[in-house]
Amino acid sequence: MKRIIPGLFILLLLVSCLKEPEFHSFQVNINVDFGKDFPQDKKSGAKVVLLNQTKSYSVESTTNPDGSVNFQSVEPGLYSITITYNFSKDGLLYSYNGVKDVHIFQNFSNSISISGTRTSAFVIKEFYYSGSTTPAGKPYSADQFIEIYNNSAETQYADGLSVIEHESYGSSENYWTSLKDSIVARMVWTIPGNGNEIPILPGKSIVLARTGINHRSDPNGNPLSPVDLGNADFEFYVAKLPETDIDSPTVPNLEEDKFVFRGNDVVFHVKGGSAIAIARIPGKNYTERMAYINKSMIAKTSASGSSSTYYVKIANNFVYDAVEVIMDEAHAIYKRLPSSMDIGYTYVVAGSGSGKCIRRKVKEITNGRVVYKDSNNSTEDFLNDVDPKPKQYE
Amino acid sequence: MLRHITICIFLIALSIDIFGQFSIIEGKVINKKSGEPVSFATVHIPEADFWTTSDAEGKFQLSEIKSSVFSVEVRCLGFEFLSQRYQTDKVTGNFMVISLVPVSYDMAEITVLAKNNNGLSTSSMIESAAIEHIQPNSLADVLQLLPGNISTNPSFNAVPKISLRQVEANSNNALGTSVLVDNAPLSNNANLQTFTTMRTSELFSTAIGSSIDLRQIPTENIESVEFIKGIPSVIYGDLTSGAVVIKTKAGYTPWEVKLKTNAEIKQFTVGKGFKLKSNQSSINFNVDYLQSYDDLRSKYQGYSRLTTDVGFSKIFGSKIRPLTFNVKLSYFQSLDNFKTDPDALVANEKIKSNDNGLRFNMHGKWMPRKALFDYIDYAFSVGYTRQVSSETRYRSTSGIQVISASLDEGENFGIFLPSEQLTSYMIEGKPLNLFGQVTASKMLNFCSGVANKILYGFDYRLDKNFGDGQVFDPSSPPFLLTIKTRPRNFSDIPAIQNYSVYLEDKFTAILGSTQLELQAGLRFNNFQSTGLLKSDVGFYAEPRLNVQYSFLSKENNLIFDKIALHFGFGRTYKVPPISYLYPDKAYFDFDALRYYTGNKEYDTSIINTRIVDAKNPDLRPSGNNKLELGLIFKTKKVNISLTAFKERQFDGFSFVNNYLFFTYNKYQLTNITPNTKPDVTQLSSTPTTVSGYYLKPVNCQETQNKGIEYVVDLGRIKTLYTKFTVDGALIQSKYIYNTVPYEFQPTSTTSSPYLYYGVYRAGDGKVSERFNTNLRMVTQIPTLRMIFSTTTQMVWYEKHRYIFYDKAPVYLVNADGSNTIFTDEMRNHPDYKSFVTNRELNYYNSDIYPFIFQTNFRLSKDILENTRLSFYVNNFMNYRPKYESAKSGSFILRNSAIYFGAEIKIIL
Repeated sequence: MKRIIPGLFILLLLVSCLKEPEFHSFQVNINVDFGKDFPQDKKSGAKVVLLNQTKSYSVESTTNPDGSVNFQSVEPGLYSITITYNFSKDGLLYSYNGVKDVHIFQNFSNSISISGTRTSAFVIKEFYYSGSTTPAGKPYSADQFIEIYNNSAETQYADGLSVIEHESYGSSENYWTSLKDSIVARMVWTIPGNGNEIPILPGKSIVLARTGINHRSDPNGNPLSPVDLGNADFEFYVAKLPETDIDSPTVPNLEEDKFVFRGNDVVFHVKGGSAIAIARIPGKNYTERMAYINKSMIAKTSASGSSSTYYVKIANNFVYDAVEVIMDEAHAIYKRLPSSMDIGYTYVVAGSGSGKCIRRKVKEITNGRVVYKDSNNSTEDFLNDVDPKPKQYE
Repeated sequence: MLRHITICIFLIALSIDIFGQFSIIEGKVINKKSGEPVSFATVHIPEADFWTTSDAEGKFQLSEIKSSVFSVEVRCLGFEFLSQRYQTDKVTGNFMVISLVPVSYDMAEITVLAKNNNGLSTSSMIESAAIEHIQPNSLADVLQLLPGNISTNPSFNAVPKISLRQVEANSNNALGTSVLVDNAPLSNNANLQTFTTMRTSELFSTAIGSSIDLRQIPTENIESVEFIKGIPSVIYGDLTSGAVVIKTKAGYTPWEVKLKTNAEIKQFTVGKGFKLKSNQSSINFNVDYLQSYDDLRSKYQGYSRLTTDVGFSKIFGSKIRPLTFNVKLSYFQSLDNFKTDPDALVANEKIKSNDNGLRFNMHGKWMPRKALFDYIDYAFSVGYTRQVSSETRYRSTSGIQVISASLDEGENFGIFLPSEQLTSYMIEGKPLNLFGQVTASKMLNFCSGVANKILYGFDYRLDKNFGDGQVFDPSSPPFLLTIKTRPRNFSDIPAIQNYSVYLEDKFTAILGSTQLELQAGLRFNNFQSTGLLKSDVGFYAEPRLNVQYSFLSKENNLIFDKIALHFGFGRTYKVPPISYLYPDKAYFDFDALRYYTGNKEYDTSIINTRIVDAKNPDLRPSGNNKLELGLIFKTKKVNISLTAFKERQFDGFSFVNNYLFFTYNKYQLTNITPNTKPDVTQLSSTPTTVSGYYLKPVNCQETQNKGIEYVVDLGRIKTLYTKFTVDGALIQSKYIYNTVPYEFQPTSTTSSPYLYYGVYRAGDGKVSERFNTNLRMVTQIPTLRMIFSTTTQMVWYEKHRYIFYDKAPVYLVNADGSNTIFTDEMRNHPDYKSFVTNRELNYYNSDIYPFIFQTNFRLSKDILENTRLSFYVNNFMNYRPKYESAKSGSFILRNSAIYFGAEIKIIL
């Protein structure tokens, strides 16, 4: 009998071991609502994190091509679901976020909407428009330039990217305020190429010079100019016949798509009237782009009604980055760019001929790569009155 | 036959009865104030066209008075002009005493306003007292006394433009106004003060292509100015709008020293007329200096003028057959300069326009009473001016540019210019203007009751510029212009020579108690003559007619002194000045190769130069067809004149774009090895076609003026010591900018240039209209020796409207010379739509400025026996309302700003 009792006890133990314990787990199905107009092919890969708020552990997964994610055996509890999704497409950086707190005590299926911001991979890093002063005290503006920087972590292609200047110099009310979906440009210049020819590495830039010479050392330049643009990547060359602009043999030219007040050279307003933007106009080449431009011409009638001038209307969603450069505080009321592009404004306080420029502030340095601040608010994002430093990142 | 003879005898008998025999009348001219005799006064009998002068005792003798009634016109420096009618039988045998009113403030009769002239040509006469009262700084300020003109403040900032019978002045109206000083015109035909005739504006001040610079004419030595607005006599030529006839002082005047000042201008004048021992001669001199600054706080932009005149006048011969001889030598210099503030950053820049001129004038009358002529008027003048416009400036291109200095066509090496360089240039013009005129007059009385005054003569004008032209280093030009030019030596440019002959008959007929006066003449011109009967510009005839019929006069009624109807018709021509007749050549510099590295060893530019002669062989003189109808109404107190006029100033000059296509070889840069100098022979080239344009002088502007001028002289109200005059005009001016089709090509807004240009239809223009009234009140208190005048200038309305014009090409001209009709579909085609200027409806809105007024005061008072103080204020309330334009919504500030000045005159 003494042998039976331990045997029974062991049996009992075995029986108790074979029986499943009291433990509940559920299936969680999350459908991410990306919103309308979201590209279908980009729905997979969004990171979804479930954080157990009581036990402080998390599980994560990524979305399927249909934009949903499935978690098996989720223990009941209070969770916080966080969705983060960063990707780049066509030179734009998309950053989506969504957070929701949920209680999971049964199988769970829910839809969570996320909202995102779109930032540009290319940003206008530096814009030098104020020009310099010659030894005789005369203005010199041939040394103006625009620097475009790859602010993303991936290589981006610069060809096909257009530089546009807003029609208004911001000295009076913008004629186009009622036009909400587009901005109107007085000139469009494009980096030539089919879209896969000019790679810009992360953290690198290209310089678009008005005239690609070393302005300081050139015998016909201005010794007091702050810049050497002999190594600029592209130059604005106005191919007029007879020629009036100097075509630097070492610096390739931008493609001239539209230049409404076609002068002898491109001149940005030295007092700061040029609101500039970078955009990608539909079309793989000059002919295709021109088809869009010719279709998008819009007339502005002079105040007296004596004549009208045709400008180019460019839809907002083609615009990557824009800077509202104004003349001075008094002219800030004549802001031209929509707040989605630039809610603030900036300018060189020192004025024309000062040799100073505006430059984006550094947000952070990741693995030695400078990331510039781009909150679509140039008042916050830009430094005023700094010395032009093309191709220097700090 | 017998009947005819009988009638003739009867008529002769009648004429003897009416006209009487030769009467010799003696008289004396005295000063009304002092009773002293007035010597050297001109006594003129218009009916007999006889004149003489008073001698040392003021005595004169009149002969050959045939009519029963005659007028005596007496003119003497320092006295009011006098015109009186006499009945021959009443004065014959009696001693006539004519008292002249000295221009003195204790005399009530002096006139300080413009007078309507009694002659047949409609004109306004302004005498020295009136000029003095408005206190002008130059002749430009006198224009405000004309009925249709609006008062402006004196200004020396810019070359003023004369405007006669027109709402807004323009170059062609000003160019067509001839300014004559002592019977000889001041010519501006040889003015070439411009960097290039292809240029439309200059930084320095220049009167090229316009009337002479009125700022250069001081008013202190002027005895009278007559503004001929109607149909001028045939003795006046080379004009379209009208003539300004200035007579300078000749005769005795006391020493006069005058000092004028206002916010911008200081002026000092001293003058004197000496009577020489021989009573029949005098010497006059006048020195005038003026300085003006645009802004007294920064004296960097200013104008100064120095004028000196010395004149000698003498009367030779007998009282019956005198010869007058006047010579005057004038020297003037004017300096219009601008320099940069030395405290400013950009120093050493200067802009200057400097004129130094010498003018000799000789004029007079001779009355030999020969068979072919009774008397002869002669005038001769030579003017020689050195005009220097210069500028020292930085050429600042903000970038590197290439130029060519080649004077030949074809490929040549271009010069790379630094982005900045201190440059200077000088434009030296030495215009010589020669004028000579001889006019003979003869009184002919074929039949009784009628009188013919036949006038015939000729004049000769020569205008030539001997200057060095644009002087600068061609490898370092001061500007870079879109239309390329090269310096030109003005002395290589031919002279303009014009011959004219003319004949005029002034016919007077007494029909009962009414009188018909007719002045019919023909002026025949050889413009730019290359021989007596050869001409480069052509032969042009100018018929001119003035008719006046007085149907009521003192003789036939007791109420009206005169009621007369006036009619005039005339044509006038103005020869194109040298700048239009011989424009600069147009140069086209195409870049065949432009290779710039910044290293001088390798930099290469090859320019393909083409030269086009911009001369227009078909250029005609500009003309004017004038038509007017007037009514003259006079009673003892009230004097009214109404003139309706219609003028068409046609063939006005302008420079217009003329397009051409060029093909040149453009070298490819692709095969150039870096760090070598390109070898042209090794480079491949492609023929490139481009369009280019230059400015060509054409007759394409027209101004049509019509309107009514009125002057109502209400006379003097004795109890108020005040004289009231109302004058003004309703004028409509239609300006047509192009009367012939013109060419235009908009700037391409893409990198592909247009290889076609548009031809647009004629007819773009503007209509302006203005109705104004000036109420002039002149209070004269002789006992206080004071004159106070108030001018209230009322503009009832002013209207401006553009003429509807479709600014779209009629056809396009392609590079191969073919034409493409411009269709409606092309209006919206991206390649062609910039050829169309879409004008909104608001562009055609009329801007109607409402009623506005402005009051100007002028006060002159003799504070001492020899000292006169004057003061004026324009727009004393500084009333300057704004008008919001119906076209553009912008605001227009009306009226001129408050302005005042003072002067002191001391008579020694």
